[in-house]
Amino acid sequence: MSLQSGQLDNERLLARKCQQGDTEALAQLRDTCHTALLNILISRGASHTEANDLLADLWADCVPGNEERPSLLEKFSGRCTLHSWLATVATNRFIDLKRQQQRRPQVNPSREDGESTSFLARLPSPPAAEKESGLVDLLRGCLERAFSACGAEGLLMLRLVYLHGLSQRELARMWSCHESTISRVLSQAMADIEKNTMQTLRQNDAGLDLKWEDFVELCQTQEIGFI
Amino acid sequence: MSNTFETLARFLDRYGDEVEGRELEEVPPQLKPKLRDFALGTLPEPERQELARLLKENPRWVASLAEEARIVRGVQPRKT
Repeated sequence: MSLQSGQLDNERLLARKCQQGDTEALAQLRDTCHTALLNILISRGASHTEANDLLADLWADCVPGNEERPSLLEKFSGRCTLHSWLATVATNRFIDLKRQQQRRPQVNPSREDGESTSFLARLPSPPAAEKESGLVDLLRGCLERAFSACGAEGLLMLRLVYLHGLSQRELARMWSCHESTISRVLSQAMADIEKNTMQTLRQNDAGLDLKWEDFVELCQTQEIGFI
Repeated sequence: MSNTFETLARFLDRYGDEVEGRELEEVPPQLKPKLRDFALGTLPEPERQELARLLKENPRWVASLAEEARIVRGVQPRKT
């Protein structure tokens, strides 16, 4: 058994215990991941208070309630590390928070008797599925724009080499050029995708501070972790 | 780089707008000779660029080009 598959097995076991409400397992999960998740959220643009509030909700949601409110960890498929999965969930919630802050106009505090009269306060909260899509929408929007801006031949070369397994030598024959030219175009196309993705990300979500490696990791976790 | 591009492309394949209105997956018959010429390295540059643009709009057709390239592996390209 490889080290990584052993780790995934252990994490699946830990997640299962947490789903069943095992308090020791829940404490272990929190102790292991809390500081790292806090640092990730702060590095992605959250304030200390926002990060702590988001994580408090996250840990609370990991505790199973009743049949109508199972543990958040029921959604963990075990196909990526638990830490990466939790980081993606936390980032997703942070994006939703930022978007709510951007959409929500500053409202006056509710009346002293506690009865809120504002229209916004009486709106029902969005359904869970809608809440979960914030991160996917953001990643997809940035990527679609970057792929669209990428040169057609460069993008084609990337697909042929990295999705369909052709060699750079084969591409050099198809394009009637030297392999070094192919290598250069591939690097440039990938650099363009990175540049345009990050540019769109900065334009779209001012509150989110992702590095390229974070962006790729989030795409990967979405791809394999939310099935 | 390989893993990165694959990750991004697969993410888009799963979540992209095209998911609902997938473009035609079958390559039009009139395009097949061009794919073969491209794979052989004998397609003139302007046509190659035009075909690359078409494949950008229809990424699922790229698999057919890759398949042609595999078929012609070992076949000496024609002199232009």
